Amino acid sequence: MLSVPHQQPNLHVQQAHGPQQRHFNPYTENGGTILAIAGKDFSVIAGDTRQSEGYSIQTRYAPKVFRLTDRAVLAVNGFAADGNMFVKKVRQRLEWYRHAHAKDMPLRAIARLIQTMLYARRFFPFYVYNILGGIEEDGTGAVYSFDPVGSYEREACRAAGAAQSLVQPFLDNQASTAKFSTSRTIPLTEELRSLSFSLSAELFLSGCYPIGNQTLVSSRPTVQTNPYQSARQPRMDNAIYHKWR
Amino acid sequence: MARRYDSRTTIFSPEGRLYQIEYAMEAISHAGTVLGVLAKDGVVLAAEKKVTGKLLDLAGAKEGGYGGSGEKIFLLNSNVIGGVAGLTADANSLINYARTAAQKHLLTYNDDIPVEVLAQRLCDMKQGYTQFGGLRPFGVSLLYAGYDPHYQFQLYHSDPSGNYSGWKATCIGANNGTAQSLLKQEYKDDIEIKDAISLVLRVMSKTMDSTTLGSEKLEFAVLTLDPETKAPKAKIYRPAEIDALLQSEGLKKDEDAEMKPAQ
Amino acid sequence: MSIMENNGGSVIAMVGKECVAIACDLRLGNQALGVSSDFQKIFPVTDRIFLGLPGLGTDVTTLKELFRFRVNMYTIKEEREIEPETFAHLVSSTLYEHRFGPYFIEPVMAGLSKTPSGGFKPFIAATDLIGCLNFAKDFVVAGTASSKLFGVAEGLWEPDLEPEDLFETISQTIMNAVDRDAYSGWGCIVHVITKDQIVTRTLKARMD
Repeated sequence: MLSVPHQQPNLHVQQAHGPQQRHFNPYTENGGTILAIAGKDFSVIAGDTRQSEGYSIQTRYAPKVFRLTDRAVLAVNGFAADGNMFVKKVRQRLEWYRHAHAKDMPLRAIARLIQTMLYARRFFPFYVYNILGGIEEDGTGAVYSFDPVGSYEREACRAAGAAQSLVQPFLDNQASTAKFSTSRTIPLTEELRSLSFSLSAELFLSGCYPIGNQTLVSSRPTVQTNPYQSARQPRMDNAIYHKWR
Repeated sequence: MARRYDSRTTIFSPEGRLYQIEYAMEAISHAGTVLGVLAKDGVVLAAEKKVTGKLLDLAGAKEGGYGGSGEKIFLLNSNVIGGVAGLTADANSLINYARTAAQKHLLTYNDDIPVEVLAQRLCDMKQGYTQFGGLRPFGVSLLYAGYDPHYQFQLYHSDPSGNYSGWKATCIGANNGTAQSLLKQEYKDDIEIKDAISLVLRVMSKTMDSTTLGSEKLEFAVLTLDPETKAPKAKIYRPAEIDALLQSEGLKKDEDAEMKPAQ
Repeated sequence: MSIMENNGGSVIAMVGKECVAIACDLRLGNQALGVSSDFQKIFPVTDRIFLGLPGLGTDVTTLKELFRFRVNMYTIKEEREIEPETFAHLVSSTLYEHRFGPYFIEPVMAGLSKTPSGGFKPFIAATDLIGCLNFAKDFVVAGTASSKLFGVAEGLWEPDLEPEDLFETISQTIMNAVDRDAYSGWGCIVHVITKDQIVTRTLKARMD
């Protein structure tokens, strides 16, 4: 506070401010990238595990890819808080379905469900770009991609997130039968298997963790569950740990 | 009497002369000869080098001739070759100015500078040094051998006054009077380039001071048109090529060789 | 909208085994309106150096002529052809001259530089719009599709590709990348430079 000089009683000192407006931004970007490829009878989904805000890394291991059922995996990218909450809500709905129908929800139904859940929040959206991957009722591999308010489409391949512009054209070239073809699955070939693996490995090398068999959802129903009980940190004896440091 | 009117370029003498310019031309008359001849299918330039000697390091000049490794003949642009006589330092400055002017024209008009326009640019600059600024004129005369699509092959001469004119054959530097009269006798209109080369070499051999005629004392250049691309082709001869040329003309004179008759 | 994105267009250069390749799209637009499908952005500087200029169209033309000026002066004075590294620095200093009023171009260069033994070494370089040089060993990208080019190139490039393979790789890279960019495309051109020859091919690309 400035002192008022006695000689000049007219000098009225006050910190002058103009009109101010407070603004709370409910959203933020947490970075990262996800991608998925649909094969003839399998589907691959990958996502890196870095969560950041601006240039700060909040954590090196925050998964973005979640198992919903034996045949469905959801990857969420954008605003992590909305992403995590959205997954919780989807899982709740799937559990309701299981109780009501005594079976898991088919993949295309999950896709439609996600659309309605997202559109319900049309005027205060979940800031997430979802990619749903899995096996359809007829055994074919499928990938569905969504925008934040529920517009969705089944596709052969899709990338989303920070590196979308880098990854998508590469996928167009390597993982589509023809670019922008209407065919929504790709035949399972040795190249595609190894490509899928190497793509996942690329994301892995760039600082994330492949979710092992959890990502590779095949028409064979035996799927290993997540070996790690807590999602906090992978086991220390894994070579990946050294890669990160 | 000229003493009072010669120390500043910007003053006329009572007889109406600009002495500084005349003194500049006097300097040039002591410099190595440069000879130019216009043929119907090209232009030839030859020059006598004054700066020679065993101790001169010409290592760079062995491969050179691309832009004019010598002291007399220089490439100004892909369509113009320049030959200089006079103060070498002044000449280098003018050559640089000419090259820049040619590129500026190319940048503005996306077209090679016409030969006369290049001569005018230099002359406009040189004239400035005779009228204002109080700086001495350039002690250099230039020959411009060039080609443009508008007037085909041309040969110009400019002097320190900033004046220029077009020539069929001309000479600057030492012994230019002798050379000029020889050219007047022997030059024919519609001369072809190979005859022009021959003429130039013969006149050079008669007017040059030295007893030897070889690549150590001679610079040589030819501007022709490429038959396929129709683009001007400037060739500044390398020392080895000059010797070969002299040999074929029968004009090569070594220090201890007899005088061979011209063929 | 950014001035660099007004006209659109992209360029990429890649290193191979004793060869380099440089490719560009052919589009020139006025924002979303396509104007020309024949606007080349790669220019020869010498027999062994090529310069790609993506960015604002008028600056593409101006800079190409400005570099012609400066390289001509260099050639005439030095009596030899300019080397790729030297040319890269010429590009850098020319751009920095306009540090506070830049040309809206991010140049990409590809060439073969002479080694002391008389052989040729592949060379690529790029700068930002004010002349910061980047001497990469694998590939350099610039233009509106630069992020897409990065991604595909990172996936497809490998070291020591022969000229024919390098051509395939750079072609696939540029075609797939510009097809994901609305402001690049409308045709592509690829130049492959080896010590003996330069092969220029126009790619059959999507014209939408």
